[in-house]
Parts: sequence; C-alpha cells; structure tokens
Amino acid sequence: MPYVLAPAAVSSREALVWIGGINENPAGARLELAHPGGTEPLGGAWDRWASRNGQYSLDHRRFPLRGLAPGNAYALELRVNGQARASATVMTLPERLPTAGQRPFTVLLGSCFCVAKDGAGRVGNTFFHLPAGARPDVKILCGDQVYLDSPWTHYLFATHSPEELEAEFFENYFRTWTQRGPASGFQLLLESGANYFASDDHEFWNNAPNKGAYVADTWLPGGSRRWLEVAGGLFRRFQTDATIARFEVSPLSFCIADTRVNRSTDRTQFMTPAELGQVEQWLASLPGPGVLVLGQPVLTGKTGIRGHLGDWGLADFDQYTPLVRALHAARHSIVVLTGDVHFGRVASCRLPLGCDLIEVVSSPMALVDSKAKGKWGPAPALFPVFDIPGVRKVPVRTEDFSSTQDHFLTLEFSAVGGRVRMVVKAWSILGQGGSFAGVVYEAPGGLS
Amino acid sequence: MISVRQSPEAKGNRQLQHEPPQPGETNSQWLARLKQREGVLLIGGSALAHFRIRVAQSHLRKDLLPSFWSLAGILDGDRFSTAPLDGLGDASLVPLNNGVQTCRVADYSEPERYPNIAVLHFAKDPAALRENIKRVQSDRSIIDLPALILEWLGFVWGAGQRGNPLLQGHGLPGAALVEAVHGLSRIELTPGLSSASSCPEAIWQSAKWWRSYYQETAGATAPTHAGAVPSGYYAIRQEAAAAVEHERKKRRVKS
Repeated sequence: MPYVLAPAAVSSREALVWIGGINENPAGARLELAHPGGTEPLGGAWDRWASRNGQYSLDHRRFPLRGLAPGNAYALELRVNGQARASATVMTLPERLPTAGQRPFTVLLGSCFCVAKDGAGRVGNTFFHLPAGARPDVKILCGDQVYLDSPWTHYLFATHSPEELEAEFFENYFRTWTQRGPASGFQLLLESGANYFASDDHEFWNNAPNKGAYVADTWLPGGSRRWLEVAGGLFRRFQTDATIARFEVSPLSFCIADTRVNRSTDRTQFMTPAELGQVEQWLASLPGPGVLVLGQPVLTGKTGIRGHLGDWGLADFDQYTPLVRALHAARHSIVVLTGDVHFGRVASCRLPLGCDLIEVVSSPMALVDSKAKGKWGPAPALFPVFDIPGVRKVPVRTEDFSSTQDHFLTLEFSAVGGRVRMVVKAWSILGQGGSFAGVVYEAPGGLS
Repeated sequence: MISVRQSPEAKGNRQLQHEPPQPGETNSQWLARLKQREGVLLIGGSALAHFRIRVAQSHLRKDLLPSFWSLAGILDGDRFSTAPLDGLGDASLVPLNNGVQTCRVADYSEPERYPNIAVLHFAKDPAALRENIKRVQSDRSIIDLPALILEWLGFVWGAGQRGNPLLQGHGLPGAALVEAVHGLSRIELTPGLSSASSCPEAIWQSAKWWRSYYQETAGATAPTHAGAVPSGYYAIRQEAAAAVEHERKKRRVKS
C-alpha cells in the first residue's frame, strides 16, 4: 500500500511536510526524507489511526524541514528501507512579493472535488499541464476536498455503524489522496507545493452539523455525533488540524479560517469565539492587503427556509454580523477566497473606509452530481444584504467571469509601487467540455 | 501578446552554439557532422503551413517578429518523434497513436524547405524520454494531441473563423508532445510561459535565455532531478520567415 507526501504549511525558511503511510507500518521500517540539503531520518513517533475492524490504518506525521532558503523549490523523496516510495516538491515563500517582471507569487484556489466523478484524474492532469509561469507557489483548497456523503442515494436509505462509517470514509480519503495516473490524479496536485486546507460541509455531510436532508445517519443526535467524530478525525489527520492558519508574503497577509469544523447547529457560530477574535484581530492589524479564506461566500444573503434542506450560509449565523463589521473596518484591501457554490465568480465592493473587498469564488473542481450543478448568479447588489446596525450598505459589482464548469483558479500577486497587482486566471479542467484558460480578472488599480 | 516573462539574463546561453551549415549541407548532414543523435529537435520550415506557424508564434516574442521555428520533436538517431500537421497519413491511425508519429530526419533535410534547425538538450538521461514518448503515444489522457492537431490544421488552412490557437491557449502539437514528455520526467521546458501555449519558440527561448533558471533548479531540486542546463547547436538559414512556394515552383518547372 502507498506512502504519500503532501507539503503542508510553508514559510520563507521552513516547510512542514505531511507524510502518510496508508495501511503501512512505518514504525517497523527505516524511513528517510531526502532533500537537496541531505537526508532526514524519520524515526520517532507516528500518529496512528486504525479502524475498529482492523482493516485500515493511517500513520502520519507533519515533519518540519528547516534551514531552507526563501523562494526556492525543493524536491523531496521519501525512502523506505532505501527504496523511493513517494516524492513531492515544495516552494518556500519569498520574503517579499516579487516585483513586476519577476515570476508573481501564485496561489491556486480550488474547492469541491469528488474523486468518484474524476475517474480519469483530470484535475491532476490539468495541474500537470499548467505552464511553468502559472504554476502555484501554494494551493488553497477551501472545502469539500472529499464528499463523504456521496453517493447520496447510499446514505438516504440506510444508517451506518461506526465501523461502516470508518471504512467508507477512509476508503474515500484513500481514493482521493492516492489517485494517481500518468501525468494525472489528485495526488499529483497534492504533492506539488504547499497545501492549505479548510473544510466545508462535505468533509462531513451536506449542511453539517445540521441535519442533512438526505443523510439518514444525521437525523438523530447519536448518528450525527458518530459521523462527526469519525469524519472529523480523518479531516484532522489527512487535511489539517489547524482551524486558523496564517502566512505572509510582505506586504500581503493570508488567513485561512475554517468555518465548518466548529459550526453550531443553532446558527449562532461558524467558528469558535476565540477563532473569530483571531480573524478580527488579523483584519484590524493588517500591514497591507489581506487574503481571507473562508468555506463559503460573504457576499450573500440569508438562505431562509431553504437552509433546512440545503446548506446554511455564513449570513445565516449570528457571527456574520461581527465578521461584516470587521471587514467594513478594514484599512487595507481584502480579498476573500472561497468556494462551495458550484460556480466561479468575482465580485467586489468599496468598503466605507475606501478599501476594496474582492470576493473570488472557485467551485467545483469535479462536480459531485449533475443535479448539483451550480446556477450562476451575480452577487447581491449590496453588502451586507440586510440591515446590520452601524454598518452602511455598499454597492457590489459582479465582474464578467462566470463559470459552472469544473475548474480551478490561480491568483498572481506582485508588488507594483506601493500597491499589489492581482491577476486571476481560470483553468477549466481538461477533457470536461470547458475550454477556458487565461486571465478572467485583474483588480483595477491593484490592492492597497 | 501572449504572456511571457522575460528572462533576467542579459546574455544568451553560451552552451547553445551557433553552428552554421557548410555550403550545400543538408540538415541530416549537419546533425551527423555535429554527432547529434538525441535531444529536442527544432525545425523551421518555409512551406506555407510552416510559415503561418512561425508567424503565429510572433506573439511570444517581444519584437513580434516571426519565430525561426515551426516544428518540435524528440530526436532519436535518424528519426524523431513529433505530432506533425503535415504527413498525417491514414486518419485512422491518428487517434490510435495519439497523433504521435516517428518521422525520418531525411524527410526534413532539404535546406530550402526546412532552412532552420536546432538540437537542444534538457535531459540528463534521454532514454527515460523514450519511455515517456511511448506513454504519451498510448495514453491520450496524458495529453489530447489530436485535439491540438485539429485546432492547428484549422488555423493553417484558414478554415472558418479560426484564429491563432496560441492565443486561445492551444499549444502546437509537436511542442506540446515534447513538453509533456519532459514533464513526465519533471523537466520544465518553458519556465517563462504563463499561458498554455507550448510551441517551439517557447522551448527555444528557454534554451537561449533561461540558463540560470536551470542551473538553480538543477541544484535546488536534487536528489533526483532529471534535468540539465540546456545546451545544443543551431543553424539559421532563413532569419525572416518567408513562404517559399515549393509546389508551384515544381509545377512551373514541369510546364
């Protein structure tokens, strides 16, 4: 069975590398991580997850590589008893944003990947064919990297024991994390550059933690608790155990904030108060433009009664109000990166203090079901849509880019004078009927 | 214009040497004299289709002049693998081979018809590339070359409303093959390109202007990096692209 390398967080001098052995026994073998600077022995403790039925296991660790040089590419190779078993590349962050004429700092944004709907590994193949000048330094996968509640027909008519949930969810992660073919497969994307993950509902079930209309296990509290426990454990192990992650490429700051893991069923909070406090603090103390990653759009209205059947959005939660307040008080441009909605869209507004808020939506990479195909629509005309005391509504402009095809985006950032140039490129997944590849948006005048 | 990042280097790669052909020397003889049997082969043709391809690539050049090159392939002795637009032969074989053909260098040897030639080396181990060619040939999911062939045939024939495929992000099939084959060995052929526009000109610019990139990445991306700092030879007999009407000339001679 396989080993997988997937770079996780990265800074200008360090890289954290996720190393996973699936149904392997790394404790009983000699493992080394080879990189250009030498070879690191991987002795010591592994975090071991094993299914109750004894059929599946994951041994993983997040290994720090230190003493790296800024803005450099490093090839990594995992050797088990001297044999190469997995490889990856990681780019360290540059210390400052590149200037005009240099390769821009590039971020890939994608969401909503259902491995069962990408049998040919097209997402990985599209990534393989990205031209070198457009290849990302880091990737942000902002939700629904797995569809644990798919196919929905399977989960509508039966409930499952914890053993069954473990087996089915693990197999889903296994298929996704090890999907590999010649120049194709999701693993190719995972192993090339740092991955920042945020979860959304399908890391659990549609509309989690509220009842899922077509997930029978979630209709009773005991069932949803079991599901959350198993799915949450695998999310923390395969994807990330951080609900807030940050990094900087001066003067640009990034904050990846999970809005699903700590969501409440009573629609008061989509993150813990402490996490919201961190986001507010981050927004208030930005030294330059900020990029905020959320699991769902902020330029949205309340879902209303449809939320009981579909999925509640951020605006349905009490915490939306303080989030909007914090955004409105921003003293620098804010780019919100998000997914979830099964379409691609760019919309922007000028906040009361004169800074721009630009929301970039990228979804899906591999659509889970043709019945779930997104209906593209412009962003609401005002932000916020509804009255929030003390917050002035500002007009929203929806840009030309619209897509309901499978795709991902890249965002290129470079420093131009005292501002940051941001260019958004869309890449339709090859062989899926889409045919666009190129610039879909450039922030007019740059970010300040 | 196609988005191409300019190399920071002021001087061209000295390991890429201009090697003028001797009087009357064919391309095959030029390769034989230089003992070149492997590498990336670039050819610049003067037939109408090649002329149109050379002009199409001007969008990658900052001077907007036509490229020297119209075809890219991978040299293996007296043959090379490519996905050509000319000599397609039996249409039924195109999907079977994913558009990949093994061509004889001798068929591209005549200097008047194919005045420009270069052979470039990006890989430490060309044998691995041969395996990769077989993989691309047998697995259309790696890259759909017939789709690119169709786009480019439409362009060179002026069929319908088709514009320059490079501007739509459709690479030239032979160059896309060369890039995919190197990509499978994790060798980057076009570090300056930020659109999906593989073409001989982009490969040429990499070899000529991106030496330091390859030097840095070859060091930093060890332990198993398969790439090398580009080297090679080139000969340019026709700098300014011109379409030479070979067929009409022949007809005139006959009549």
